[in-house]
Amino acid sequence: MRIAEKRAWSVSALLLLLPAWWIAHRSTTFIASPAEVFVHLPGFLADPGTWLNIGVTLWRVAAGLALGVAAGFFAAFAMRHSRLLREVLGYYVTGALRTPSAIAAILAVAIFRGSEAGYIAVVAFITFPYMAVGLRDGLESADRELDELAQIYHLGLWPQIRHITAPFVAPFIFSALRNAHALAWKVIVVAEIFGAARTGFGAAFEHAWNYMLMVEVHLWLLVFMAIVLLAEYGVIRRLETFVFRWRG
Amino acid sequence: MPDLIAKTMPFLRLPRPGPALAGAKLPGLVIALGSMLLIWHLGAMAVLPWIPAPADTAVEIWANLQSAEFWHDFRLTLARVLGAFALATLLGAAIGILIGLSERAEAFFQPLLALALAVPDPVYIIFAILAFGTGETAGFVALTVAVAPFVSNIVRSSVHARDRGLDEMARIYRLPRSAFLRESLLPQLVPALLTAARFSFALSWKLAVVVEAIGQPDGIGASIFESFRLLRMREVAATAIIFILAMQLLERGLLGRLEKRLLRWRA
Amino acid sequence: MSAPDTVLKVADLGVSYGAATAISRLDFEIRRGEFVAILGPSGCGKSSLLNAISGLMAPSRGRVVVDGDELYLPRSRDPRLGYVFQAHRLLPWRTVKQNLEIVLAASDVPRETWDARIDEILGILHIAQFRDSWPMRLSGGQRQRVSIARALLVDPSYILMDEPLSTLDEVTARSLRQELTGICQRTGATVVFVTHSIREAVYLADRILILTRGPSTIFEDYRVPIERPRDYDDARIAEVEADIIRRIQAPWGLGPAEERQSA
Repeated sequence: MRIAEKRAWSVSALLLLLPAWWIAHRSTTFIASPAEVFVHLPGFLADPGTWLNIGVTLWRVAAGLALGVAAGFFAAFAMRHSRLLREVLGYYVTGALRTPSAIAAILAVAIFRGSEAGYIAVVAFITFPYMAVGLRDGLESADRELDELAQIYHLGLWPQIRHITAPFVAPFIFSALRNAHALAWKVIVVAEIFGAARTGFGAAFEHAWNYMLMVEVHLWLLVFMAIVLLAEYGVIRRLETFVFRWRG
Repeated sequence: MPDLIAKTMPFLRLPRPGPALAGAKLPGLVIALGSMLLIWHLGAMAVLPWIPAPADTAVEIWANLQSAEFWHDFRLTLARVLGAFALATLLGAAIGILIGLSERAEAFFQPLLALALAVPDPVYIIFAILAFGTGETAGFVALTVAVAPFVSNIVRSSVHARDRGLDEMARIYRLPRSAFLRESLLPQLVPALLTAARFSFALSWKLAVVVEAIGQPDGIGASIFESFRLLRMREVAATAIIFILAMQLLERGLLGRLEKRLLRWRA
Repeated sequence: MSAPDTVLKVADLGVSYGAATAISRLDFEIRRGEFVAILGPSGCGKSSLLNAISGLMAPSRGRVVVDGDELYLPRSRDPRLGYVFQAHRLLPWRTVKQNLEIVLAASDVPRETWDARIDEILGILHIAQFRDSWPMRLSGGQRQRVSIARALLVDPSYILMDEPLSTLDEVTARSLRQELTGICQRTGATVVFVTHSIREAVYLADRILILTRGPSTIFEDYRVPIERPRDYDDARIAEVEADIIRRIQAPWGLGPAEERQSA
């Protein structure tokens, strides 16, 4: 199928959302009209308060993700180091994987008493197992390759990492990072709502909802989605394409 | 969320080390549980009453297990989880197969899936409550809409990675479309469907907690949140621990057994 | 006009992808009961040819007629073919018998006769004992036998074999190659056999269609001048093989050192 036709289908799917939105607006009391939302959009975007809240959430996601990635790397290398550590950390990873983010958020609020560190800790806690497992699988697949290649060619440590470990592990890191990133955005909202945050997207959204400011609810949602999509398609996937440009 | 999720799926079967690791198993378990308890204990000493002591929580767990009210909530939540899980998996798989087979459908649904995944779960829940009231429908719909896109993405990748040789075989031997789907495509998708089912189940019960906390008067999630509001952290911890363990066991038992049955043709 | 017992008629066939031409022009006919080998160098447009004559993909030009029905007309049905692929392409989650039944169900053979037919064909291919095995439990040669059984089973107009022995080890390939002629004679099947191996073509075929380097046309329609039964190690086979190699050296652009690669 031609690219133009594909694009036409994609665009028509998105365009159909507008009439769908409008119909939803007409048939319910709580969905604002698209026109009204778009009229308020410029003012909303010009408001420094909007960007303050978004900035806070962005900071929490970035810091939590960075911590989660670091912890995941650490755990993965430790798990590769010994069988015992692998077993032990395996339980920690499972425990973190299995904890619903709402419960993690509640516990974090209790432990950190609503301080900024709590939100960051929740994001890190929820994302770390995904990084750990993804990276561990990558290292294992590189290990197998490495055993054969390195033995045949007697490679030094740096060439080993550069030519064998890194290319093998990179795809695993990226897919883990994408999962962790998408999850981080989901978690932070839950954490902000359940953690009774005073600033951030979740707080602003909940405030708007509690006072039934439906236009504002829609505006927050739109901006949030735009930022998530921008981060995934504009940053992470770009970076991925750049790293894997040699694949042709 | 990324379609690459299909590739990182192994994490869903995480704690299943091969026989080679058998030697480290028991000490691993002991050290893991021991260290977790120790961290918990130290944490409890540092920030009591915010973190309940392990012993108190154990007593609470025991009390919960004997309380009819707890089991009532548990059954209620389980029913909600299973219902949403079943619908989300079926719906997600159907869309996944459709967009995997048809480029046109993929071009159409792809941006919608990306958007659907960018909506925070609480937003789904809130809008579903506004649309359907606080009855069972709202949670059911919100869970399904939040979980199905993940399933679609996993299944779609697997349809793309199918053996095209078998497609040609089916055309040459003029298998009808139904026979092609049933005999050739679906069996190839079984591993991905199982992975998707695991993912969908895990996501469903985690989200069910949020749904109940936001919009239901009863169920495990509501009871946890209620305890939290009253600052009964012991109850929060006890209920959460039982629920998490039970879901873990259920997933391993049911889906593990299903997997064995469906993949027995493998040599 | 083609002869009344023509099974496959290819006329003025051309395949191109955008500016690239895979097949410039092909004309040939295959008659009932014939065993025809198609021999061509790598990149001669072999898969385009196979796709075109099996009904998988419409050619850019020309006609393909199977048993009097022209393919690729708006209302024409897919031809009834047997196809032995390079890889077995059996459904690994179905037993041998189930694999065969799926194909029978799709080609309106009355259900009462299935069991007898399956047993007969499996007998001919000496794999009756694997009737209820899963394909993954069989050896490569056994799987390819099942694949041949599947092709024979549907009572096809003709059977297309795409290098079916190329993935097998030489000993297995030898014994299957040896049986193949007998099987075709017993069942009266018409076979189009694509191969890279000149000796294999000489040993098996009545006629060899030698293609040119792509974009291909037919370089020569070569009738194998050896009566049956043949012996794979017979000196006459080697002679014919050498003769063919001599002829194709120029059109395939081979130096003597490259002969082995094409074989």
